[in-house]
Amino acid sequence: MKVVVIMRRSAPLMHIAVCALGAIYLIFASLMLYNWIITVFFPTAKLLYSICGVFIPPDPGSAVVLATTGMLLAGSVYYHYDRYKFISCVLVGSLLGSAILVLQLLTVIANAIDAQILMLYGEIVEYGLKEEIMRPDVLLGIPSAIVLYNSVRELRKQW
Amino acid sequence: MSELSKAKHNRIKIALAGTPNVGKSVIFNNLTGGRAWVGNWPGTTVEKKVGKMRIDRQDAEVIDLPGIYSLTAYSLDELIARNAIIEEKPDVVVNILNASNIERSLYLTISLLEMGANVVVALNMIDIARERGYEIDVRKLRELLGVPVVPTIAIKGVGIDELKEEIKKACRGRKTPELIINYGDEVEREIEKIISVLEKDPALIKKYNKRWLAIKLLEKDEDVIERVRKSQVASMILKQVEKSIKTLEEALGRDIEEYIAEKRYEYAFRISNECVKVVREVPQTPSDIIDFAITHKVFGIPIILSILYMAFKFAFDVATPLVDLIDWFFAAFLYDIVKSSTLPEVVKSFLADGVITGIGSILVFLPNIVFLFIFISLLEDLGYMARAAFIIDKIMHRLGLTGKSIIPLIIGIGCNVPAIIATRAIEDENDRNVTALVNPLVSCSARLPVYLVIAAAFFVAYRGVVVLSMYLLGMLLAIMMALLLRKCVFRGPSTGFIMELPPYMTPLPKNVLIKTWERTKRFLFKAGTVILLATVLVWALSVTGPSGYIGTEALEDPTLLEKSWVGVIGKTMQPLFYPMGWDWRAIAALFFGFMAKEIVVSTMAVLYGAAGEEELPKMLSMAFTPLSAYAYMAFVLIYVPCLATLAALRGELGLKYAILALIYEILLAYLVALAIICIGIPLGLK
Repeated sequence: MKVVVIMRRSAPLMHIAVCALGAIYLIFASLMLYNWIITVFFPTAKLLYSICGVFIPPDPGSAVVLATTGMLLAGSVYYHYDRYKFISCVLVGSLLGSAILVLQLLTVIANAIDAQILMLYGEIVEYGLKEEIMRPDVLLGIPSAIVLYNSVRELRKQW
Repeated sequence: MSELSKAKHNRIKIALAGTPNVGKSVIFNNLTGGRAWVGNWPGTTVEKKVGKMRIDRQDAEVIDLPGIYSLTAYSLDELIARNAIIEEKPDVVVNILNASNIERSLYLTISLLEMGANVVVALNMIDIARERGYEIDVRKLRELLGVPVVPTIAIKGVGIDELKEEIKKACRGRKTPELIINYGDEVEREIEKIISVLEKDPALIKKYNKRWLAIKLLEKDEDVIERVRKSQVASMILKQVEKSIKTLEEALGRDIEEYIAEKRYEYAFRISNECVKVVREVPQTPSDIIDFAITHKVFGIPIILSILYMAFKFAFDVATPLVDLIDWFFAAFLYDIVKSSTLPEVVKSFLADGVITGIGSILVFLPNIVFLFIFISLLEDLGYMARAAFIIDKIMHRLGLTGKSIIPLIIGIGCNVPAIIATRAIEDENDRNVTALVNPLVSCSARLPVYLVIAAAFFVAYRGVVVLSMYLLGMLLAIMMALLLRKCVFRGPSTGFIMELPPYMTPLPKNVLIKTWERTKRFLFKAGTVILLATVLVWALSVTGPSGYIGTEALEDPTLLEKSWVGVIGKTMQPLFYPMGWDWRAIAALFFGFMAKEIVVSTMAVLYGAAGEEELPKMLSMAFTPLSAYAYMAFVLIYVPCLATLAALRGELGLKYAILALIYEILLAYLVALAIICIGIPLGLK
């Protein structure tokens, strides 16, 4: 709710908040890509397994989504002079961020169900819920969803 | 005889005509309760579709025509639509107008009315027109056009009952008065002259509206000229037409075709001006605002990649529990039942190792395919696919290719056969041929099971990315081959591409499910027919060999299997694939994959003796290295189109080009697979 208030009352503050979120997305995207490159090309080198409890999977696909979200959110500041262009970038960026959050949550649920199914026919399944949830796409998806909610409201107000 | 009693003898025909993406297919489904393909992007309907509806306790035939802007004969879809109206003489033509852009839609209405069609207008997307600040005076529009006008919101079913009522009235005998646009004294004089010659052939004027025919001849419409050539007085008519065109072009100082089109646009503009009022200034619609980022020159491509990745993540990760359930059903439940039965050993092996293993290995991917199609259908209905086409068009245009190729290429992700048929919408013959020829390079759903099995064996952690890379490789190769064919075989300038971006719409679950089912149906049908037969064939060729019947033990004993017919095929072809290091069983699977690409997986399942989704990847991980497996995936992506695609190519382009596609794809597949191995090894990849 705090973010909502910031966005409504103070445009420059909102620009800074969105830009900062975009920058964090970009940082985590780079780390994910780094881990993937290490896994594929330098298997003996050390992975950056986690930062502050956030797991960084070597997943280039998620890295692309995170990078695109980051580019859109951070890049929106470039269009601060034009309300529509700014809203467009923030809306699409936060939509991507929220979509990957929802997808990851669906994946977590699917994996949990799958583990139960496999256990039913006698397989031993190793399943790490923490690693599936403490990922940048999930954690950053939460502020993204708040930004999305607010952007939709802004758009509706304009309309 | 009243129209209705006439209809008792001849079935009532109703044609739906309108500009692309105006909602014809939705109205078709509403009228017929049918399942026509509905998509929020232009070019959904390429062929005419036929459905049924009841009018006054009678069956009526409803024809859904391709989206067209006019009734000229520049592209195949326009010709299909026009010919359907000329030849089949529908009792009623329901002309669907885009209420948010009436002026553009009216050109077709005017053409239909000039043709003498019995028209009922459905003013669709009236809600979007209101959102955009337009108020439409429906009564005025009805007056000016002289036809019934029914405002509709087809997607929500609003106005459909009223539309049905007007169609019924029109079928009962109400006729639309012929629209006569005054093209100016000079043109009218020449039209009269041509009509007087046309009247010398009563058969001709009985078949076509004489004024429409005269105008089309003045417009130098090649299709109409061809029809007139069949007349007994053809030379007289064409002589008069030539004379009239010369006279008019001298008098007007410009091309007569252009002049007539301009007059029709002026008329459309006048009607639109009188009927449409802007009641609220809307600077930018939500669609326009969203489109800024979506179609942005920097963000556009990363957004496409992100959305594609999410589509694959949804299809693979979220569908996993269902995949495992189906796998359990085939590999554990059914397989065990058959194996523990008291049937003779040969029958048991045939059912368990042949049918269940083969079909099970394909059907296990059904949830992945369904989930992928759900996602793609959502994107289509949302309106995103049209944006993706728009973004890729920019790249295509820079390469000298037409953006119109994009739509068939995207359709190819589902199946290459309808995609090749969709190339009919491309006017330029060279562009059409090139697009159809490169279409098999786009990865269709049949190849997905192959990728999934290999990805599960070697690339578990990022299977989504690996599979996505195949789709991107397919698109890239299609563009490169198109460029090469355009430069070397089909030379000439490329045509431009104008595509109206539809507004974003909330996808309707019913439409999404219908489309998903229609796409999945093909896969299931193949599984029950071609794949089943091929599996039986592979099993039979595995238990027999040049020395006769080997026995079902061959499926468990590699030394015996090598002596079977499959072993002979695989071993004979193996030297060709020596650089790639593929196992002879994998090579034999490629041989059978020619019938349908899914058969590669079912054949491998039979040959490697893998009973379930879990087992085959384990077996493959022993037969391939990650690099050779990736090269194998690329080979499957590119090599030979399946039989159905070849048949479609033959049907659209002829045997010569179908053979050309076959040859170039085998060569390209070999080169790409070899390149992957040659580049991968120095990079330290194994």
